[in-house]
Amino acid sequence: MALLATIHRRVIDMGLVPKIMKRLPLVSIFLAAIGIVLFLMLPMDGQYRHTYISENALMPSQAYSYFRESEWNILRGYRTEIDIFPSMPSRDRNLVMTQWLEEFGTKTSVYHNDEYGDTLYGIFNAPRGDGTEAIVLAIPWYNADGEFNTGGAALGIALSRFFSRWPIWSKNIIVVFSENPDGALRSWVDAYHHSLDLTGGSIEAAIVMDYPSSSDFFDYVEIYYHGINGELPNLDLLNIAIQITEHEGMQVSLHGLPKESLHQNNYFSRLRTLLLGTKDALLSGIKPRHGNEAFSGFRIQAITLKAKFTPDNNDHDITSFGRIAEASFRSVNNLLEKFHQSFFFYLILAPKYFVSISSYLPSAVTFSVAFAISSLSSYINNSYSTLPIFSEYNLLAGLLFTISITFSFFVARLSLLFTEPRLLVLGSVFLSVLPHLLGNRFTIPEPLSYRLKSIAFLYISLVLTSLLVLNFSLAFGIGILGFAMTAVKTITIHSSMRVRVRNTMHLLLSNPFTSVLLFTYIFDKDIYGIKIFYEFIHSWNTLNCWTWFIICVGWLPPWILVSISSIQTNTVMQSPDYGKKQL
Amino acid sequence: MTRFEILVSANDENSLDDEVSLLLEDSTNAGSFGEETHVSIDIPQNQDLTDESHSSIEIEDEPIEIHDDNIVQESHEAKEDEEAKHAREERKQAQLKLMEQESQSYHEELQLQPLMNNHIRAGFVFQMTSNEFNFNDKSEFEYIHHGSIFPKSMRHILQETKSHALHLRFQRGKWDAEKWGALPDNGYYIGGSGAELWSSVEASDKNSAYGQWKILANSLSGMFCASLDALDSTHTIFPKYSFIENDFANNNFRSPVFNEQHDLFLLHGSLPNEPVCTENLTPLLKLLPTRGKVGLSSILDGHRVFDNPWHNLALDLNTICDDITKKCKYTLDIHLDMVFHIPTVQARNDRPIPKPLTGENLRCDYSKPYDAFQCFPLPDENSITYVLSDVFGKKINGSPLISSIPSKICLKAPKETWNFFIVVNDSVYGTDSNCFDLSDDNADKDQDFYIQSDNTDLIATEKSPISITRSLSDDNNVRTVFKNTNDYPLEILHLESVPWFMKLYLSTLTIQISNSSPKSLRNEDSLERTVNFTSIYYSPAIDRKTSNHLEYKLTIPQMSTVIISYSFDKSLLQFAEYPPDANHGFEIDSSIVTILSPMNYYVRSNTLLLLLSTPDFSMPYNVIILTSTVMCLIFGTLYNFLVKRMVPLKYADIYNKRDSPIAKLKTCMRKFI
Repeated sequence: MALLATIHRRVIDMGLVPKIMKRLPLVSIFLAAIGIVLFLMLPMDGQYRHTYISENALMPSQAYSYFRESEWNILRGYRTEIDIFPSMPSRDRNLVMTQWLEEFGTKTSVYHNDEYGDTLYGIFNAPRGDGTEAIVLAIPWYNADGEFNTGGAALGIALSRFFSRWPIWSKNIIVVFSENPDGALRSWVDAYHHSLDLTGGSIEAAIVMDYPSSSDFFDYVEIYYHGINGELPNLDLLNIAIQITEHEGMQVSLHGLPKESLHQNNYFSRLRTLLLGTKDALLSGIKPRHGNEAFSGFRIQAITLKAKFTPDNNDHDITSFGRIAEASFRSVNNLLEKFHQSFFFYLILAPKYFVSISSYLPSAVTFSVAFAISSLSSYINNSYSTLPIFSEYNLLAGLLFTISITFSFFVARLSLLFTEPRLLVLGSVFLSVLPHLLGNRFTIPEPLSYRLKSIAFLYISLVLTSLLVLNFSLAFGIGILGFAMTAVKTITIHSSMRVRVRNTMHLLLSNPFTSVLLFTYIFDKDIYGIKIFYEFIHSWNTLNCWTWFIICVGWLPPWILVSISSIQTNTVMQSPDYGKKQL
Repeated sequence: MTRFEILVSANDENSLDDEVSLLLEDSTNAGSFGEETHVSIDIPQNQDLTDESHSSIEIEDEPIEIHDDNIVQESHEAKEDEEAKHAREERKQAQLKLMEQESQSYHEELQLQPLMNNHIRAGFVFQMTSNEFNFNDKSEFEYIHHGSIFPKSMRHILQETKSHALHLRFQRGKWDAEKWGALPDNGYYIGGSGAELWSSVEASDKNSAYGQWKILANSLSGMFCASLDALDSTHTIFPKYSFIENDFANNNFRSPVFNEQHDLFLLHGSLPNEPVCTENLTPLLKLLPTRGKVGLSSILDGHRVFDNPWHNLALDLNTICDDITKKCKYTLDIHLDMVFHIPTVQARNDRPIPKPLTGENLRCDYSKPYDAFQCFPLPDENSITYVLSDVFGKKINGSPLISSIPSKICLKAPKETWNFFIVVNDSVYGTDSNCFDLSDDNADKDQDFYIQSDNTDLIATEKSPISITRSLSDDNNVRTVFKNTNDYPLEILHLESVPWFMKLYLSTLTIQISNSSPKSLRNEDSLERTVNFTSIYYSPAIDRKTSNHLEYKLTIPQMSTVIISYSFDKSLLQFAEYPPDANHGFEIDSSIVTILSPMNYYVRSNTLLLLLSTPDFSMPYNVIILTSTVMCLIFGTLYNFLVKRMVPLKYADIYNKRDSPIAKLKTCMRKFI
């Protein structure tokens, strides 16, 4: 305590408190800068860690993988048959596949869904174990890019046949052929947990296989792991998949990094993976879905394996792709418990490097503190700080806040019914420019402007705080994109034109819709433009991805308040009572 | 969809007195046999009972001895053939004479039944009957202790726990009812996944019945190397309707024998998470007079019995009494059933590791594109040839001399497509009935059984009368689906035992019915009458004491599916109630379906896995340590802030002057003056 007391004494001596109080907006910007610096420091040596297999029972690649040699002949045999599948209706395709699956004793069933089509699934009951748990091998007929998954389907049936010969399984094996990795797979997962009659127990892990080619050879493997709503599969599952892939001699690419950059290992390569990973997590469920997202939310650890081809350098055969699934299944099969040992919150810097939550969380925390300080600043750094709590301005600000939240909620809800992204963007631009246009035709009391900002920043700070553990990337993203809000100044009759224009710019930059549009335009070529809004709605409808609602309910209301607060103000004369300093 | 009002029975009779159950648990833990312990259990509220009513149970420990008198061991040492034969004949005569005198019997049988997709079910039956004796006549009662083929340990358990019958089941794997048809013997001998035990116990009241049940479970736990000792009150129920007719009515023995004033109680418990393995098989074989050395039991090897898709071990012990002569006898039935997939077994014999086949061994479909690189695999062959020793890895060693009826092996399959021969020293014999008696004459010879078929899909299996699937849905719902594909309705009895940490809401119980043929149901209104949901018995759980016990009768109309679902809430467990390590979830017992009419059939549902929120157990310590540290820091600082005022040094003198006692005194005085 002595140290604290000493510091306290020094602080008082130097009169720091009032000085800092005056410069709170600077402190807020400083904190935000610290947040970004902390984040950029993560890929530096000493800040990240090597991945390791935390659960000893997994033992990846410890057993020799036998999916090779003549299994390749069988795989090719199936593939030749599957080659004609794209021209068949899905019903016939499923019928043929059902027949093949039942030949080696798999129980099959077809889940019918009017909206997403039929999903065929087969269960191979575990010869060991009590059959209350299962591992899923999911093969979408068409992958995220709309290509027919010929190799994947051939691998699915050949692997199921191969698995059925092994007596080692202690968990049921479920093989799923869905129409696509998106809504169709998700609707099956939903139905599996609610209404299907043929079930194989609780699903522990799922591997989605994507091999969209009839070629025997491929180059390297892409692994997708981001679940929706900030969920990630247990790091152990990702680790075993990466370890097995590298053990089989293939390179692993995360977040779609191109082949050339896979061998790099320096600060910038790690930073690139980190930034891409954060972006992918932020847009997970909204970007094209690879299949692992469909399992999110049911305590299922899921990853997608995607084979990548290059024009000249395809030197790994399709069975080695199958061996990744085989060895991963054997590892998961070893588990006596649920996945619980390793991390559920992490950021990946390279296939073998990661940072855990304790290292990366502070950068998001600083943002939420920065907003809180901005809120404090707009409350006390003006002549109205002594207004009583129940003053009319506070109450009016509270009322406006309630209205804006309700309004935002209706915007979110109505968008589900009529998606009119252009209207939203135009409305946002209009609201940003409106205070400027109004000029002095319409004014609000000055204290109200401060109170509105105070409430807005406090609210967004709370939103970010509650979000930062669950969905770090989203919290961090909103923090950065929305930070420009704190720079919006209260306009008085004396304010210069420059301040007014700058306010409008800040408002435009920090608006949820325009900034998301801008962000994806610059950073994600997959979904830029108006399309992203449709994807938001789609991901809510099919996957229950909250991102749209968090943006609408967490980010839009404070922005509306800030927008109102930038309307020109009229100075309020304070009654002598208000200004009376109490000693 | 209809909602049903359900009368909830008062639970008081089911609840166990705290003190008693504690006492019982403590003392019965030590009550396993084989140790030098003397346990007495006092049940306090039964003071008024007479001495004979066994208000105190005494276990005087007797180590289990296994009688060696009757072991018939075939020695394969080089002996003169004639001499050996002669000696065996003599022994057999002596044994049979003994058996005739004592009316005890031993019989064994193996039934082989080919199933779809080249599977075969091997069903072993071993039956033993004790001598007749009179319960009231002590001397006669003691008589069966000695020189009997009936295992002494079993008799001991029955008498110590005053039980009339006990049924033990070990089962693992999934019976594919769709392909393999009905369960053998109407499913009576087939348990739910894991271990299952039920028994009728004679006692003065429920509490003492439970006490005796605990002793029974503990003894069996030791004998069969199973965790049956975990069958505490939370795993034990008193079935209201299920099992009753078999354990009470069919035995034509309802009245108590140990004490006239006592009642019979039926108790049931199951452990769905129990792994079944060799150590459960060995004690079962040890109960046989042949000890697994001779006769059918000699081919039972743990490696083969448990290396298959499905296996079931059953032990049934009954007391049968004649009402007129007042003579009783014990029967012990051991059923071992297992299903083998023959191509897998054959492949395992050739190649213990299922490595990829070499190119020339691949069975390819030549009608499809085929070359050195690709091969569309053919399904399993339709014709099959194998010998029994391929399946079990051993040959049958002789025949038990102790039995008056020879051991029997039968193949239950259509004669037209299936050939079943006995091979003795390379000579092949067949019979019309596809049944063989094991002859003593062949004991020293090399005998095996030859099974061959050119069309393995032609088999003699009955259709499974009902299919039942039970699942837990994500929104805390238990969903049970009964499917009746017959053209007649089924009247069933459903028993569910659900652990206390699932809080059931019976008000949410819904019954849905969907039928494949529109004729069977006329309109929605008649649902209640069609399903005929009656005889509902529900005893709600008491936390940490008893489980939820739900039984009801139900009619499943022809060609229709009935779905029963209800919701539940998950309870939070106390810190010490979680398993010691992070677990994969909590197993829920399989439910028991008894078809009452038009036939008798028993089937269990699958077990379920319930995920309770499991805390990270290192977290509380971290939290406690961190919060304590933070609180210390805050308290110190806060206290300082509250009691001290910090001012810059230059103002210190002014404040000091102003706040000094003299200054205050001056101010005070100034007010007055």
